[in-house]
Amino acid sequence: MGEALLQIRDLHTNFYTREGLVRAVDGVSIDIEAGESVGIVGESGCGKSMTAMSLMGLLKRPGKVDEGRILFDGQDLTAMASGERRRLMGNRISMIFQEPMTSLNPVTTVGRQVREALLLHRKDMSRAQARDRVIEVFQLVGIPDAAKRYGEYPHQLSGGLRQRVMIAMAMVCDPALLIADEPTTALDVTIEAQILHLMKQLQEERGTAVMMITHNLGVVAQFCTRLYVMYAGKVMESGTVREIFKNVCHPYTEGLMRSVPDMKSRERLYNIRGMVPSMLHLPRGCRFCPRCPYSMARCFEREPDLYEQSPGHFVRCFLFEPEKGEEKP
Amino acid sequence: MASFEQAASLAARAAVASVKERFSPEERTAAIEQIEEEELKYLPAPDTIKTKLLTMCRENRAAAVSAAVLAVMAFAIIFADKLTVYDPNAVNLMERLLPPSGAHWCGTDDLGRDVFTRILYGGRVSLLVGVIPTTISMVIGVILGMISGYIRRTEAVIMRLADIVLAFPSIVLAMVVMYTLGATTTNIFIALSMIGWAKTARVVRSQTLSLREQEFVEAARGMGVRKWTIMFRHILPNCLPSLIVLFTLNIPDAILSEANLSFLGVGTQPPDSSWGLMVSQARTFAQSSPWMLIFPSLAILIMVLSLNFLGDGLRDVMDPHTR
Repeated sequence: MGEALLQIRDLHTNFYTREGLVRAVDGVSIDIEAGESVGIVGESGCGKSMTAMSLMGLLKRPGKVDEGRILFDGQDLTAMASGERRRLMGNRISMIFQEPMTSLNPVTTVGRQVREALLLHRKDMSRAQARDRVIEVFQLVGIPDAAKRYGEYPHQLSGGLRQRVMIAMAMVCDPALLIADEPTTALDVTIEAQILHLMKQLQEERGTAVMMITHNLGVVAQFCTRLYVMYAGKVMESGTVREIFKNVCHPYTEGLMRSVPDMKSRERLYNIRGMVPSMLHLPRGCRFCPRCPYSMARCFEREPDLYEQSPGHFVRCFLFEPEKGEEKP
Repeated sequence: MASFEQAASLAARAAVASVKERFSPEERTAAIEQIEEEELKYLPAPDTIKTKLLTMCRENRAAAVSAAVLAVMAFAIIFADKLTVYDPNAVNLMERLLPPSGAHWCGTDDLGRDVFTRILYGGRVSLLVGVIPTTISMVIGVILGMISGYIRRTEAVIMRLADIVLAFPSIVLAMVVMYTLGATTTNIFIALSMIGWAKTARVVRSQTLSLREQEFVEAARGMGVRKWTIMFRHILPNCLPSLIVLFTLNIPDAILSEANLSFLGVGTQPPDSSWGLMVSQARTFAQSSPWMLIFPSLAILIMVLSLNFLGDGLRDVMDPHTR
């Protein structure tokens, strides 16, 4: 794992609010190998988007990366000068945003916007060359009439097409790492399938590593090879998708899995009791214990570490503590 | 009846059959390709300023007329010496305070000068005073407003500066500048630019504040776009509609400020004239010789109205949603 494309090590992102310190990302470590697709899953507000924002350097005040390193291709992003970092953004690392409706500038044609991203990082390209390249990428992401769409404004495109434009913008410089922050949340189901299929195809053809941030386990099962489950700013479980789906360990992951609607089942849909705790007042001990159906006395006292359940499969739960570990009831 | 239906269906079948016969699969694809090629020719024209202006003239009659009126006015002002036989400053006490007639279209003033001629020549000053300081002050205001809205550190300094300018009665500030620099037309431009930027800066700053939180700005930052590029390429175009309106409102403001300065003796110096100066000098004769007041006022009114209509039209064609 030493040579992973992206290594996030013990990342702490804190927000200094008036009410107090919010540890939005609290010691997260994530590895992504070149060409790999990794899912980050969790409920709203668990810190997945903040991890991505820290990575992109898009944190807004009062947020700040306080500790930890983000190594991309061996370079530490957190220690980089802003100009140097900007050269990587959109070029080697790019991001697809959640809202295709508002992530495009309403007064500029979509072609110009994508071309801007390209010209920014390929200084040797002429405008005409860049234009041709953008149209090519538009075709690649399945935009019909690419040449015509090039000159249209965002409001003239449907949601699915806009998301394709966003993907084109992210892919136009052939990045090594693509961060997709809930790319399909704002789209309807049929379009969602198309977009995921497209991303999968691009990822396989171009060998782009993808960090897929989602709350949809179905997307993860379909798209990713490895998975990180986050809860309240910490990684709760990580491992290959195959391993985790076969052998769910953490009670939180189990809860998430059971919350997915099942067509065959006639029972009432399961939901995890309670709510994501306020990040200002995290419970003592394990942060999931107030909602955990298996919580024990010690869960309320001390926070568990990540225990290796099987090779590459880590779980942050006392139930899986080696030696002293008890069987799940 | 039946025979008619039969005939119709026969005709339909024949048409289908003939299409089937005529087109082999290869020919079909060729035909489709040809149709697609034809379609490409009818792509919407690229968005140049020229096509935009043409659309505006076609769709917005008021804007088109206003543009024509402004063009005529500009023409008349530029070629003033060819359009009138009188000297704007020649005093002729024999012909003082004459009402409008064939010889003097807009009458004469208290010194017997032809009012129409003076409107033409005065327009030179008024038009320049309307356009130049407004443009300068808006450029300054846009830049400072965007900086203070986007780079939060600078906000306090720039906005307090704007507050100082706005807190001062603008005419007093302008007078101070005019007294110190001397009463010339160039100094009128400087004085009016110095007081005008603050209003624009406020408007642009408030728009920038809301635009900078938009996701497309965040997306641009995520793509590694520099902050100056974001400001000028993403934020400024989104401010454009309000800037156009502001521009058309600022021009009459500037013209009237110049009139005030002239009235107070620090603006345009007699015997030269400007529309504002003519209006303020005609006050005393408003009862006895109203033409002295009416015609320069009309000139200001027509120009301001035309600018407003034109501004509205421009704003509409600039908005991509109306495309």
